[in-house]
Amino acid sequence: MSDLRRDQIAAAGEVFERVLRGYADPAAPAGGVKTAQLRTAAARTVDLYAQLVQEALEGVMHLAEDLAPSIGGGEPPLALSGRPGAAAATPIFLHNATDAAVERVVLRLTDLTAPSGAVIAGALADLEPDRLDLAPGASAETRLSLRIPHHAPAGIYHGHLLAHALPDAALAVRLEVAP
Amino acid sequence: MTAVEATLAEYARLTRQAMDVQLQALEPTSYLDELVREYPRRGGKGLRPALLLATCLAHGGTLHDGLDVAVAVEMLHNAFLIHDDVQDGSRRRRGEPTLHALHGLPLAVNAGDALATLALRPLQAPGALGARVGRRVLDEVLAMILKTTEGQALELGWRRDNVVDLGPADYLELVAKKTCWYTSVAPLRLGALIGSRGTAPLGPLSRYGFYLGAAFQIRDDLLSLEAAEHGKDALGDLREGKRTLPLLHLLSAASPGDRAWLGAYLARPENERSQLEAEHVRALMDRHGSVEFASDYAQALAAAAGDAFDAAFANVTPSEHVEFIRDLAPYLITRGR
Repeated sequence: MSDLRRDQIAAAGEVFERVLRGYADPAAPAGGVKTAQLRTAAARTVDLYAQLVQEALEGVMHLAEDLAPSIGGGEPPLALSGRPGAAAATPIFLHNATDAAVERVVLRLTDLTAPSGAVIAGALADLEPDRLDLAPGASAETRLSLRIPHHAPAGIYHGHLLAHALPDAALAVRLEVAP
Repeated sequence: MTAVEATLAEYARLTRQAMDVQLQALEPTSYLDELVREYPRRGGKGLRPALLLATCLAHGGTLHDGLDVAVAVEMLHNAFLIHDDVQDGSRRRRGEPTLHALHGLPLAVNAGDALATLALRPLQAPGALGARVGRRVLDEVLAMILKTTEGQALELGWRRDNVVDLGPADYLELVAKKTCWYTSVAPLRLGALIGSRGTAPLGPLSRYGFYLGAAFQIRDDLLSLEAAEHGKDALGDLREGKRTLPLLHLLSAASPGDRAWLGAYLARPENERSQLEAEHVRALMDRHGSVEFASDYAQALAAAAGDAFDAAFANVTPSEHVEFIRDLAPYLITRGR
């Protein structure tokens, strides 16, 4: 290769590296042919599962948004707080954004669990009223009240509020038990 | 027809079929629909979708995986051509009058806008690619559009301000952005990204794409200097004052008198540059070895592309798709149109 040609290629290489800067390669490090095939196959499998999970979640989100925008993953968790032996309470609103009546919506609180493993039974919750009928485009209010056991350790507990008529919807609930 | 040309033609056919489906989104009207279909109807080499699809297949993907994105890239290419012809005042494209020459500037610009927008539709839903790869594909396409417009701005700015003090490095920067990114770099990156589901390293492919695209562009520069029909204006680049590699070489090699004359020639608006003057520039290029210089440079870049190809495909299973991609470099610098 002549010096001129070598210089031309080197000059081009410098320019190209400068233009390419900022477009870092996020891909996995190079490996052999079989490794590359394995990586591709694994990535395809992961993507397939991810897609299935995403589609399932999107289905839940759409249903929840249609029937009760206040119940859905985009909302912050329903926050409760109180001391052991006291009651923690909060109002809950359901909004029926569809054109159809939704009747006999029964809410139920799951058990609340702390990272330590401590559990507060969902059965200690009361909902008043415990059954809601929603006309098309209407809203309804119920009140969640949870009796915090005397022996409940202080900490953050997590659970979900479920609706019998909305099997795919779940509203996250966060309870803070003060010391 | 060579094997490379036959493969290019087959990829182009598949892409055009899929593109027709996308273009059905427009209501059939003589003011938009017909204009949008005009350049795709005229054909073209189909280099970009071919490179994308072959790279996708080489990395383990399927035609189905890559076709939507190949269509998007080809539609963007056609949209760029419409606007490019307007910006350059070109009169012929793919052997026929340019779109604005046929329908006027306003309708041509509008058709380019519509085509560029339609090009993004296949990218809306990631489909079989999944959300993760689909998002990266969109990032790549957006980066490609931005780089291309940066390159186009550089060229238009140099012409507006009559910048003549330019060397090969300036030219290569222009070409890397204006041509390489969307002609070869992005199709290679996208094909590998889709085929490997984001696991293939893209840096080595980008380097191959740059050398390949630059060699392709220099060949395009040289074709514009040939008297033979190749679908564009004869000596069109010289009339338009494009900063091609032969022109930049001439500017550096010409005598002070000739250089002053060239500067004045390039400073005038295109409609004040005569065909005779363009032919004089062409003769000066012969006298000063500018065509030979550019041709040698293209050969050097094609050789570098060969080395970059070896690095980029070292870990890819050998296949007919890999062979096609390898054979593109020598084909592109010897092609007749």
